Amino acid sequence: MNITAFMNLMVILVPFLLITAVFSRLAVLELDLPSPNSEPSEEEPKQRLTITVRESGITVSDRDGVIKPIEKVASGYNYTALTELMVLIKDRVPQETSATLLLEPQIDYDTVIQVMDAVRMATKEQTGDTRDRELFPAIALGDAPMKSAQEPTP
Amino acid sequence: MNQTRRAHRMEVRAMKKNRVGSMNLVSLMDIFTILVFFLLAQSAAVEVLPNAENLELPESLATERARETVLVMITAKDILVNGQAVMPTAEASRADGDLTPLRSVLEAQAERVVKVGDADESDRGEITIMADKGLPYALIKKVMLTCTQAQYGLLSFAVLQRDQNTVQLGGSSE
Repeated sequence: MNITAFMNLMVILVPFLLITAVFSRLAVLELDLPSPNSEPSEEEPKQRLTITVRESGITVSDRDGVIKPIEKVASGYNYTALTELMVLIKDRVPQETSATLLLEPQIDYDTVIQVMDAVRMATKEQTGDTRDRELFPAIALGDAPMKSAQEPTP
Repeated sequence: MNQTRRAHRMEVRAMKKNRVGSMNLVSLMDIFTILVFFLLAQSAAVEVLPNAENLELPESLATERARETVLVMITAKDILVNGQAVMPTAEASRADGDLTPLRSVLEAQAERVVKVGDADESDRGEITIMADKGLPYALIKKVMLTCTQAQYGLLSFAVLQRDQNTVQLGGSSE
């Protein structure tokens, strides 16, 4: 049985495919932006859940004002606590799927993604459930208001 | 004498054996075949996004696969549209408001790639943004603003998919 040609083919093909193979899997995170031809409205939609990310920490609020500030911990922002809070809020308003993320300009892109992740879904390890839980997958981004304008309403 | 004749005979026999080539290649061929099919299948799952070479993408739990869209890359040095450098990042972070060079390139892209309906139909399609994870949000926002002003309706961020076991480790480290 003459397998020399076959072996030659394999020897060429295997390194070639190994080199071209992509082992890091890429995914995309979709944003929930208003359509470009709609006029930006003056007032913020009031019912939305808002997560404000500042250098000092994360603040979660809705139309009734601040729900809970989440302080930073030693390793950075406390994403675990954020997800836990999001699960509590989702239990209260199960039909709500959208959230607004307000960020200070110097926040890292990495932080933006991590916060979006924490708001989008809770993993099964975090909920103790058998499945991942979807929280608020439709996320809009915006600028955080100036510190003084963002006093907690009594 | 006897010994050397026997050794000689064995040598000849071994040479004969080698000439017909009875090296056992079955398992090697099995491995190669499996490997080739595995790698072919993997490369067949179309990777839309190019491998990010000079930028570090953030990791995320997102599982949605990338689609064929206009691709805006923001590295620490340049902003690229579909692999072509448009403007340096430093210039972009100095600018306020939208980024004019980027915008004109994006508008040209959309006419070529998507071309939706008549002129009133303003939605040009989708953009995928690949950005380095160290960049500030202010810069990302400028790029997003430019994309929206160039009439792209849907923006997505490209991220590295991470599996959930490592998440648990990373997430509960504090």
